[in-house]
Amino acid sequence: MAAAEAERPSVTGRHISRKYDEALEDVRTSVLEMGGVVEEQISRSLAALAAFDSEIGERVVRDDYKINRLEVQIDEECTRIIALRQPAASDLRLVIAIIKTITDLERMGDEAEKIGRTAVRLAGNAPRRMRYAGVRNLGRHVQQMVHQALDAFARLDVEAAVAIAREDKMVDLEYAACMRELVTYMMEDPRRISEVLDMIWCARALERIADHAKNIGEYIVFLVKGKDIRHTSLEHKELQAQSEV
Amino acid sequence: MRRAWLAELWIIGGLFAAGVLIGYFAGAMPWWVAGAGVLYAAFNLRNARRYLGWVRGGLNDPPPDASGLWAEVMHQVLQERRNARDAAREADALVEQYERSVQALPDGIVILDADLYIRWSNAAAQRLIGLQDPEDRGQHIDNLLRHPEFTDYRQRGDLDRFIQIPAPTIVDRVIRVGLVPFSSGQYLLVCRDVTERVRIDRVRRDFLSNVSHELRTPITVLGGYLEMLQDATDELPDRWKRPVDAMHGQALRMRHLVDDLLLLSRMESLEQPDTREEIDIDRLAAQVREEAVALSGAREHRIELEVEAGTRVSGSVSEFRAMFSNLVRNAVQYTAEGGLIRIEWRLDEDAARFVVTDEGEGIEPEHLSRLTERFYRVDKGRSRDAGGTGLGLAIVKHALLHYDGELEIESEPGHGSRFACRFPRAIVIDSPPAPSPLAPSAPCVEGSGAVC
Repeated sequence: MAAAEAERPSVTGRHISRKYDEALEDVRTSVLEMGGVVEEQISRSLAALAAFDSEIGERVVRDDYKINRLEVQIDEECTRIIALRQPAASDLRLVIAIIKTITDLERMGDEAEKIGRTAVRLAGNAPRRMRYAGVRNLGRHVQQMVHQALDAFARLDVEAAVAIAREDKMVDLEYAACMRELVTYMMEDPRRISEVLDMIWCARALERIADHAKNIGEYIVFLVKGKDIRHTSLEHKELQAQSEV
Repeated sequence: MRRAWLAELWIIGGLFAAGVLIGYFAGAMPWWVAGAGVLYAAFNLRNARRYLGWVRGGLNDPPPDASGLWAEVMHQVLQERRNARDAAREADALVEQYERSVQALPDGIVILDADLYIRWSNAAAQRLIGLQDPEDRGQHIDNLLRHPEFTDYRQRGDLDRFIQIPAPTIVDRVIRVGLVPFSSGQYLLVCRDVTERVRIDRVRRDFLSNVSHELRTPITVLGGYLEMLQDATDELPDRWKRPVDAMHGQALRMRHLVDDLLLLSRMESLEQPDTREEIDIDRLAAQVREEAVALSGAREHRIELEVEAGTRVSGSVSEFRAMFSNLVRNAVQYTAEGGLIRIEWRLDEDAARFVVTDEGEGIEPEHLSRLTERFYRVDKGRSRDAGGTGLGLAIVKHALLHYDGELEIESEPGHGSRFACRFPRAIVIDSPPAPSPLAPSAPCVEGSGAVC
């Protein structure tokens, strides 16, 4: 079995201390576990919104603490690694990327909670499935983006990370279209204005989630290439991703 | 083989004879014979060196010329090597065939090492879970299969039960995933697309619950008017009294049936209890006993209750009531007049049980496994007389599933039956309830531990 152990390729690389490797790999896995919970929360909040289901919505609100707890845990673990191991170079970048990623994940969780809360508030109204197709499609797109971001984080896949920035542009366009659609509804039927306003907040929350996913993509480029591509144009990002370290 | 030895002997013999012959004519025979020996040794050493060089070279060059035993040795080595090559080729072909058949399986298969790092995956797994092979080899499975339910399942280690989660990369698909340990501490992750099955299940459930719902209103209206007719005694001709009574009775039965169907489909559609509240088992059991006494009526069963006061569990009251009353009602229905029925709550190390024992007619063993099927009747005529809906035990079973519980049935024809709801110990709330100053401290007088 020892031979098999040795041949396992490691994403985080090898150190003299096996414990160190394990600690880094564990904290990476925890981040992805947290990502899994966030994905589930987003998916549930969208389900709650689609059916105006207060039960699922309440569950989303109730479960947000799980994300917060994971964030605190991972944060502590990162602090411990910095204190004990004084990581350098790519390890340091990994720890920093993780600390930033979990902040974004936690914010995504908060946005999902907001959507859940809105679903609970709207629960009295009859769901109008066709009516909010725009928001639903936006939700689906954002969900996919979050999944891609986490996959890219697991695989340290720079190309996929830059692709997320491209997706974010699409989501922004979709968000704008969605807004126009919702405004039309308000003009058509003023009695529903408050309901449509709530939907606008949800669309806004989804757009924010997409932004956070984009941020995670940027941390991945920073982690792998050691280059900060925040607040730069898409073309610049693509160029940086292709360049050598 | 023999030939090789013979040739070798000829060489030795020839050399020796040559030594003797030359020694005979030239004198100093021992020296010449010894010289022949040395020559033979030198010849062998040279062959050994060439042979060693050839073997070291990986047997790829043509074998060096040799005669006698050395030629035989080289021949044998070449033969062995050919055999080994054939065997290896066969083994490779076999491995490849296995790999190709696993690759072609419709179910997704991922081979994981002891720490659940990915080592290999087939095409179906790559499609269903969104893996990339070989890029994802060496990833922890949790990194890519991130659904919290899977993480829970893995950490719980209860591998017998597979779980259903949405497919990570394909929208609106449901997969069933499970881990199976196999040789030398590795794991197989098996997954399958069950979207279709889940959909059919849901359609069936929805249909059942819709039908029941639609039936409810007409039945209620019928029952209401029939009741009015019953009450209007002076206006109703005597000869219509019996038919109206019978119709009312059947309408009532239909209502029970629809109610049970609705309850069942509700329980089926949930995966866990609808609410979690504290339930006083002793109080609930006492209520159920009251109902049973009422149901028994003139048949006067002896119904004993043994539940420790202050026993509390966490769960849904309506589900617990449904479980308890269905079991107790069954016992009352199938026990002869004056028979004994015991209701108990038993607690041990790892489980809590709600047990109903009766002295009824018992059930033949061949029926036991099918008892919880809907509308399954042990004896067609009997249960209809007794007035059951045929759904009671199915309801009990489904309610138990919400608590990871199980229905245990023991029965001996002629002697009676024992039905037990087994719950995991964890649902029992251990801390004693806050002592109420109003609670009577004196022990109950009547019955054994019954709430009075």
